[in-house]
This record gives sequence, C-alpha cells and structure tokens, in this order.
Amino acid sequence: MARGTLNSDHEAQRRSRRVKALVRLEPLIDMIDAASRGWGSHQPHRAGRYDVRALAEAAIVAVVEQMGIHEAGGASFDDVVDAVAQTALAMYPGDLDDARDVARWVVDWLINAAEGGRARTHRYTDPADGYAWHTLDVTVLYEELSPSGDEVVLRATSEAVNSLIVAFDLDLGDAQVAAEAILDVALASGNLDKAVTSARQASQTSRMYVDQLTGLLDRTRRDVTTVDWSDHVPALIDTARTHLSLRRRAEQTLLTSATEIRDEQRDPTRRRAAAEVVELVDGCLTRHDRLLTRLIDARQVFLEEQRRQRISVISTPAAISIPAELLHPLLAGPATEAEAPLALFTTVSSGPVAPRRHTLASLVDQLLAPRRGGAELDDLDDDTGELVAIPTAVAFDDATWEAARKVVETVEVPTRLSRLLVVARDAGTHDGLVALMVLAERTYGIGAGRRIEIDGAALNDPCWGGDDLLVHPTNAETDGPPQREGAA
Amino acid sequence: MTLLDDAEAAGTLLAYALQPATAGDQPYARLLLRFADDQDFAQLVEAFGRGLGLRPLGRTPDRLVVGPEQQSPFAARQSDYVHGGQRLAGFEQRLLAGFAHLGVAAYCFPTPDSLERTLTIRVTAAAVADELTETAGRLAADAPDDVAVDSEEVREAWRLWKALPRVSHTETGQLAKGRSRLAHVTAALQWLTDQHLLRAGDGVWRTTDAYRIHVARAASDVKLLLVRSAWPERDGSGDDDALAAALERVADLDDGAVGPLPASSTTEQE
Repeated sequence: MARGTLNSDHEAQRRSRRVKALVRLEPLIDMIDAASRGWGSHQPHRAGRYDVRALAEAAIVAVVEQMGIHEAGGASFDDVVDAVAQTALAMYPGDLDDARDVARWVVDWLINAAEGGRARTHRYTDPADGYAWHTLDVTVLYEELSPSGDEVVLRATSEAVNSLIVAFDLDLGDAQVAAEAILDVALASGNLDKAVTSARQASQTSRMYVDQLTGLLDRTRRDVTTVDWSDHVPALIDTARTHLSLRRRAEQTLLTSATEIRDEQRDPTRRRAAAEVVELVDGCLTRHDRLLTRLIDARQVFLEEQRRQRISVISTPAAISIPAELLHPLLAGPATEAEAPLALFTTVSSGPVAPRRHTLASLVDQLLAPRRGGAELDDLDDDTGELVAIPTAVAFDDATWEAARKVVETVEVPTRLSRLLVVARDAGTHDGLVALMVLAERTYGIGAGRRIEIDGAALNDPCWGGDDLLVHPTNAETDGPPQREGAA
Repeated sequence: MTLLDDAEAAGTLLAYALQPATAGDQPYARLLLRFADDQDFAQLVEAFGRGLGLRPLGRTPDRLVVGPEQQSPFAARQSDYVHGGQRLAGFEQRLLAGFAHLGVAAYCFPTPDSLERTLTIRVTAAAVADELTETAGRLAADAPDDVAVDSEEVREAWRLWKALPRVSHTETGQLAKGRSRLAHVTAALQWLTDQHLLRAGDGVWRTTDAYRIHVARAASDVKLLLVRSAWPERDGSGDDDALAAALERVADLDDGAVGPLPASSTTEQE
C-alpha cells in the first residue's frame, strides 16, 4: 500500500511543511494582488507611492515587537497603524492622511477585518497524504480582548511569524542555526553588514520562541485540556531545552568574537557594526535565559494547573464544525425537526440566566427600565414637550373629608356605626368615608383618640357589612363606663 | 474556616458567576483565586453547582464560566430570547430566532479550530444574516424545482429563512421585530450582549471568551442530539426513551414551564 520508503516518508513530511508554509503566505499574496488591482482602479496615485509588501512587513514587526515587550499582551490597533503609517511616510512623505488610510487598510487586511477577524480557510493538497485535499485556517494578525475586556490588543500567530519572518521549511531552531552560521562566516570574513542583518534575524527568532512557550503556558493556565501534555509538549520542551542550551553556547562564542572585533577593529563603521552585533546577541542571550527558566518551570506549571483544573473543568467538547455539522443539516432538513435542536443550542449557548427576583425595589427598577431588546427605546420621542403639573390623585376632596369628620365628631354618647352611616347619608355625606375614619381610628389610632369598641353586634346596613362598632365620644373616659346595655 | 463559611463562600462565587457584570469585582477575584488554589473549595463549588443544575465549563482570568443544565432554573427560556422577549412567538418565529443564534455562532466559529482560539471576532448583523442567506441559497440551488412544499411536515427549514425579507422597517423607521433576517439576527446579538457574552459597539459586536466557551458546549450538546436522532428507531430501546424525554424537556422550555427538577414535578402532580 505504502509506495514510499521510510526516507521518502520523511521527505514527504518536509514537502508537506513547505506546501503549508506557502499556504500561510496566501493572505499576503492576495493582499499584494488586491493592492495592485484596488489601488490601480480606485486610488491610482497609491500604486506609485507605496509598496504594500514592505508595509505588511512593518505591521507584523510592529506587532511582534510589542508581543516581546509585554509577555501576555500585544500591540494596540492604533499603535500598529501609526508604525505602518510612518513606514508609508518614509516611502512617500507629505501625505499623512493618505499614509494613515493605507496603513489602516494594510492592518485590516492582515486581521481579515472584512470577515470580522476570522481565519481565512485555504485549500491545498498534502504531499504527506497522497496529495489529498485539506483545508488550513490561516491567521496572520488577530485581536484579543484583554482580561478586563475593555481593551483590544493585536497579536501575531506563531505560524505567521515563523513562515513570514523566519523561513519556509525550517523550524525555529534550524533558522537560528542558519542565522548564526551566516553570522559566524560574516564575522570571520569581516563582512559585518551582513552579520548585523543575521543577528537581527536571530534576535527575532528567539523572541518568537519565548512567545510560543508563553502562549502554550497561558493556554495551559486557561484550560489544561486544550494542550497536549501527554506526548507533544514534553517532547517539544525536551527538544527546546537541549536545543537552547546548545544555542546559548553558540551565542556565547559569537558574543566573544564580536566583542573582539568591536575592540580591535580600526574602521569606525565596522566597529559600530560589531558593537551593534554585541548588543543584539546580548539581547538574544538574555531572552534565551528567560526561556530556559520558563522551560525548567513548565513542567511545574503543568502539574499545578492540572491539579487546579482537575475539578473546575468537566470536559472539553469535541471539535465540531458548526456550519457543516449543525447549521447545514438543520437548514436542509424539515423545519419541524429543527426546532428542538435549535432550542437546545440557543438555551445552552445563552449561558445562565439568573431568575428574576421581584422584590419591591427591583420591581420598581424593572418597571422603569427600558425593555429588553432596546428597539422600543428608540420609539420614544426625545421631545418631552412642556412639563405640566399633574394634580395629586385624591380619593376624597377636602369638603368631603370635612363633612365626614363632622359626622363622627357629633357623637356625644356612645353611638353605633350603623347610626353614624344613616346620619351621613341623610346629610349627603360620603358614608364610606365615615366608616373608613372609624375603622382607621380603631385599627391605627388615627383620629381624636376616641374609644371604638367591638362588642359582637353585626352591622345591619344596605351598603356595608361587618361589626357594628360602638363609637364613644372623645370625653368617654371621664364620663364613666360606656352604656353598653342601652346600645344593645 | 468552618463548613458554613465555606458553603457561603461557594454560594457567593456561584452568585458572581451568574451575574457576568460583576467580573473584576474584588471579592469575586479573591474567590476565583481560592477556587483555583484550594482543591477542597473547588470541589465544594462544583457540588454546589451540580445541585443548582450549573456546570462549571471553564475559567477566564476574571470569570468562572458556568453553563446551565437543561432542567436548571437558570436555563434561558425561549420567551427570553425570541426577538426581544416577546412571549407570543409562534413556531416560525421561534425557529427563525434559533437559526439567527446558530448563524451568529457559525459566523464567529466557522471551523473546529476556531472554537479553541481565544481571539475576539467582530460581528455585524448584516454579515451573519447574509452568510445564513448564502447557505440557504446554496440549498435552494440544490433542491429540485417541482417538489410540492406546501405540506408543513416536510417543508425544509431553509425555505423559512429565504422567505424572509432581508430588512423591514416600521413606519417610524425602526427595524420591525421578527419581520426580517436583520431583525432576527440583531435580536440575537442584543440578547447575547444582555447576557454579557458579546460586547456592543457602534453596530459591531465583539465576541468574548465566555461566549466561545458556551458555544463550544452548546455545539457539542446539539451534535449529540442530532447523532442520536439520526439513529433508526428501534423498538423499546432505552436510548430512544431517553431521547424522547430529552426532546420533551427541550420542547417545554418554550413556554417557560420548566420546573427545577423533573422528578419533583412528578410528585407534585400526585
């Protein structure tokens, strides 16, 4: 079945890597194409002004540099646009607005802002898989929300930087070997200009290495199950550790020779260049030291995170293509069968909803708050018109109160409520209010402090029911015991 | 620390997790740290959550992301999210709202890989609606022309989406609720924003990491449901019964009649 030998398998892997590296360049190739077409027809003046390749490079470098400075952070969109605009100005000075427009266009393209920042999916055939078609998600720059959620930072994917800044077929370590070999040769031959370039490249390579591992450990801290710690990562760490210690030795040697050249060269240009190399290699070494420390700690981080997260993360859902496995079949099937899965999806993806509590305070807030959905809010007219005093709503006017009070106050001997109601009706006063006043005085002590008694007699009245209360006059206490028998 | 103190702290952490607006609060941050460091406490929180029908799904630096089980009192109801909380939504409206939600997720996470990346996606109602329409259009192109589609039973779902106008305004120039593709997607985006899963900007929304985590869980739940319902019906199989029960619970969600636990509702009836 397998046509190739072991050797050709290895070769196929290498070729597969190269093809994928080419796929990762597609966004840039498309961008150059789009610039030549779009700028040609819409903005013809730009084609002669700006080189979009160099602008893309400037953008990626600007992002990578920030990622190196802030370990978990990245660059802000505006900072990157500024850096690219500066590069554009260097190509064509004098038109800052246009330079900024072009810079924004470049950064947006690298993010794929036109598609919301999603990865571009490209198809390619894989030499290691009998040239079967595969797809690859390609992202060059991406945006991430800061932990607080208020800030958006730009970051570059490791794949993008490896393929764009480092090389096609080489992994990070190989690239560094090459860069340092070139530097070594250059130093030996005294060709320092080339040496400076190689050292810069080496510096960027080590910076990426730091970032790759930081990303890995960050992902581990977020969710230990998303990183393959059983085989892949330990192997990677081991390789990286061996590799790094070798690199440190190599760079130590380079540093020594560059320092010698710096101290012994007479030509000031070359001496300056050597000094620059010393500085760069020094930076590389510092970065390597940091990386080594992190590598040594990595296992510990993993063990700790595994202990911490064993409980908190139940399981990682299987990899699913939402458009292909969910959306497409549900749209294609009968509508009646789609309802339950859609309801399940929406309910679960909505996250938890705290049950609404109807305390009086929250109820008032809810009644005053704009409705969910927000559309109604716009229906409200902004112009509130003239403010008009709204009269306080009252059940009884002052005259009615006064009349009712009079009826109650005319009591001189203990009197039945039924009697007072008749008096009130005869006088054309609101009998309900009279009953209310008597009740309020009995229950809450509101009023003139009369004694109101319940003696078991039932109210016999066409409009009202209940106890026929016995109302004593205000001076009842001084008048001795109430005349209960007489009233009964 | 006594057991009572711990229980109170566990409850407090879950209360914070249920109120996304509290992310970044000092006491919340302290409890999250304790959750990360103290295994016993984490176990207590998880058990406490299980009792409430809440699954811890993951942890972002400032939030504990918990997802509701289907029967949990904390699960969203259809009346919550079908175009802005209207209760009188009919079958079509519920379906279209569901597709709007699935469409947003499909737009933001188009590949399995994208469900694992922590980047933030910019999303607009138009982009989601148009992509859904495109998918529906491809299905329409594949469909045979002369098949009668009047029967409700067999009418494919994409026809509902295609039949909807892209946009429809009221007399005052507002989006007419539930009358267009844009209205449905906007309502979905708005609801997810209310749930603190998206951040709203000037007509552009951004995904948060918590949204990604919930979508991953939802996608895997629905996939399971689809795989199960694709099985040929077998007589009296326990799985089919379980599925039927699950479907019934899902159907119940729409009128908000879901009690905290199905078991207890049975005893109430007796």
